[in-house]
Amino acid sequence: MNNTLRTWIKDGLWAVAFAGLVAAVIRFASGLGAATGLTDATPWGVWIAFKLCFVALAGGGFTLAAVVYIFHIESLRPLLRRAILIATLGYSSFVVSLIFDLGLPWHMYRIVNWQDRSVMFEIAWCVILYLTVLILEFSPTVLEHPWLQHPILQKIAHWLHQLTLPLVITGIVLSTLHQSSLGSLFLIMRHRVNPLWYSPWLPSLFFTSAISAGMMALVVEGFIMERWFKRGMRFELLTLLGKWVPLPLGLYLILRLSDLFLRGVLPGALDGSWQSILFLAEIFIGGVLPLILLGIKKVRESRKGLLTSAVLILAGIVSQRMSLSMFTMYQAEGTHYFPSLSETAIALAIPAAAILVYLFFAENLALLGAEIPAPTDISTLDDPAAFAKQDTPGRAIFARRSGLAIFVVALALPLMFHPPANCNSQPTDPATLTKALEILPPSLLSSPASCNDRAATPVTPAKGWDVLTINGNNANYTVRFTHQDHQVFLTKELGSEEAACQTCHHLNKPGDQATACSACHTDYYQPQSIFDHTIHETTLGGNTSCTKCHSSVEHLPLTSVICQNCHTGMVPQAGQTAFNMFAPSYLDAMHGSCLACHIQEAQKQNKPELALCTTCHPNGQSQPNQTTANLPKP
Amino acid sequence: MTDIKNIKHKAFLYDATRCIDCRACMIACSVENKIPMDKTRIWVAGVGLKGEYPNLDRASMVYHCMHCEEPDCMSACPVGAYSKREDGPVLYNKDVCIGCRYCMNACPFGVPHFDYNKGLIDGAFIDKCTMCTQRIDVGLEPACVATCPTEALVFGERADLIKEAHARIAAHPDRYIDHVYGETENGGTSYLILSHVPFSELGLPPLTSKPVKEVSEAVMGLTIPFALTWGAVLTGVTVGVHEYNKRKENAAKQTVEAEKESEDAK
Repeated sequence: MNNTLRTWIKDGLWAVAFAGLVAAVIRFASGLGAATGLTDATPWGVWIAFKLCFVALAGGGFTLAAVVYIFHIESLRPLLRRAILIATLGYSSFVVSLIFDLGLPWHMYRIVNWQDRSVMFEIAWCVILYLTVLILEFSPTVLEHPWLQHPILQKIAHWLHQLTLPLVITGIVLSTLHQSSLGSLFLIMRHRVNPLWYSPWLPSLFFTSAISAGMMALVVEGFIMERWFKRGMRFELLTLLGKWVPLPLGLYLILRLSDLFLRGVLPGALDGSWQSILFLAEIFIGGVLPLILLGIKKVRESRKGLLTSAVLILAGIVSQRMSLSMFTMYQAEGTHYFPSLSETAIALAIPAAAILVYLFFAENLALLGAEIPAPTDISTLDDPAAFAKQDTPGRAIFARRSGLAIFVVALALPLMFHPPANCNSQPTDPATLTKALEILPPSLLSSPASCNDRAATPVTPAKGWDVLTINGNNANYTVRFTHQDHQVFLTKELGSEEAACQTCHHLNKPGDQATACSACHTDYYQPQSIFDHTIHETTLGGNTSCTKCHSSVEHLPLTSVICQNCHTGMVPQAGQTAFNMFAPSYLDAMHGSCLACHIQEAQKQNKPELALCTTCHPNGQSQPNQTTANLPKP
Repeated sequence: MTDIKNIKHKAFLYDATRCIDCRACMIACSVENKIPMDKTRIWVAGVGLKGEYPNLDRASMVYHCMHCEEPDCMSACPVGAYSKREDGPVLYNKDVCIGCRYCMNACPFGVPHFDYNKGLIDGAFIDKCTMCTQRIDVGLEPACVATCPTEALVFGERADLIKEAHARIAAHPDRYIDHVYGETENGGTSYLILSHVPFSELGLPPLTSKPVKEVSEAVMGLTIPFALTWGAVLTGVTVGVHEYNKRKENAAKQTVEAEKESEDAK
């Protein structure tokens, strides 16, 4: 790999990181709704899936620490520093994406509440503690740098060196807990997880697969870094990893398959759905095949064979993490999750930034150089001492990256920033209610797909029904209630839709029940004013409010001001008094809701008896002889 | 009827055969709790019309928080933002919440609602039904119950409501499915459901009497014993391997020395 190519790759990583920065600003300024495709039906998305992968790839840290410090297998020590750096970056990525994902990240200190039943609680603590341990484990390597040779710093390095063993043991315990609890996370989500990926053994599956993934990440990283720095990688050490990885990987596969078999879920893998094909590919191409490949000594010890197996294993485990937490997650009918552009940008920017940090450390610390003296069969080796200087000189590269940043920001901002959809930005105020209650035909009531609506089940928002059939007292006497007509009428008379709704649904005042029909339709034969004196009195200030409407002490309609003084939108019809809000008589209201249709059908079907009084009121009785028993079942 | 304040174990009974899909409960909830209509804590799922005229049938399901006896959300929450009040309601405290949305994944009914449209400053919180604690504490029924025109939703003592539900089934065995959803589901809920169509059609998940959280809580119970044992094992192995290597080295040294000695002796 030559310098130009390296610079271009780095430019690419920087570009991804800059794009992520733009997305980060959008996420924190306008919220998750504007930045992601997350909804109530799918509260977790690609960030969580990536987080699981970061941690799986970081599994090499504790595996190598255990191998070197616990089992004293000194031959693998040269890989230790790299393993710990990868783990540190993996866990840092986890924390960074967590900050994006949390709705209220500044409440994070609340994790001090002891909640030992919560898996998330355990994860939070393990991440915080293990990341601290990792940083402490890695800092002696940093403190070797010639710029950091201050006596105090060296003293700290010495202490840390002394503390190595306790740190390592704590680290292994913490990461074991953390790796496995990421699996436990999905135990309580069983109803959302695809059965082929669910197992009560998920904690063990995550632990064993993380060991495999961590080891294989070291192999792949070894190959990449060899090309990048043109330096030998002690291939025999990578082969050693390849020789031992079948142990955790095989355990993982046996545990997973036998659990599925014993619980009788395994036949589901053969039903031909895309999930089952993904499952089979994951198991066979990402598990069994590399297991066989690595079992053959010749393949294991060839460069191509080892790299292929490592990539396959990583793909299999990444697929397991992503499928479990994202691809195959149950989604309610009519809902789908697809990460938005800015969400994807953040998800990719985090690993891109982590790789840049890795390269920075690799270029400036004795991460690769000091412990890898012997180049292998690579023929194009640079001078081993030159590994620190890979880039073109500082000022030029700074200018180049600044230009890149401006370009990426200018490109990403218009692509990623969408002002939130109307339904999303409603503040909690009475005007909102009015807006939500727009009178629309029911067919138009479903909200736009872009809204993060309650989508777990198909829902039509309550915005006013057209006509309801009310079986009020469950006595099987039904009444057609023209909800929309009431809404339109009251809105017109009261001047606001909010007031219209609250006329009947006025539960904001304690003690109120929903309004019965008889509250307005009070008289059987005469239209009645529905002016509500009590409401006016209460709203205007109780006993002191009389004079606001009544010009003299006599409380009579005659001494009152006219309604239009306040209700400016109210237009009295010809021949009506000031108190012109009339409800039809009970009789007219009831007839009104039945008769129109009866007369229409009588003409249409040429059955005049349909519109006769005696059809509904036989024997002259006042109550119509109509029950749900002789109606079509509602 | 006893005073609502004095009910020891408050619960709802929802009867799908009585619901007329008027959605007044949604409006009442919005007005009472001062939340916009599109964020209502109640949502109504409908089966839609079934059958052919004139033998038509329809069913709707009014959802809000089930107020489980063994809340999974509470078990999942890493910061203890959820609590179960002794008289029934499952409550959420937004001052503690970190917004991880694990409760939404854990809840088998998909109840907690998250405000995705808040940025860093105004904070994105979970919202869910509170059983109208502000009303029940002064002796009023929750708003959705108070507004229901057909008594499809009723409120009362859980044990009484279970009895009432079974009485309704006994009175009209032809009208109901012989099961009270929520009596045992997920360890029992404070929202009991009667229906004339299969519960799965109403969108209710099939659940056993064991709460969803059981497996994860069992695993969580092992954490600390496991951590201590694992730490001890690792320490033991470290020391053991170290000792073994040392002895092996010493033995090797001794053999070398012995050989030397024997050579010297020769």
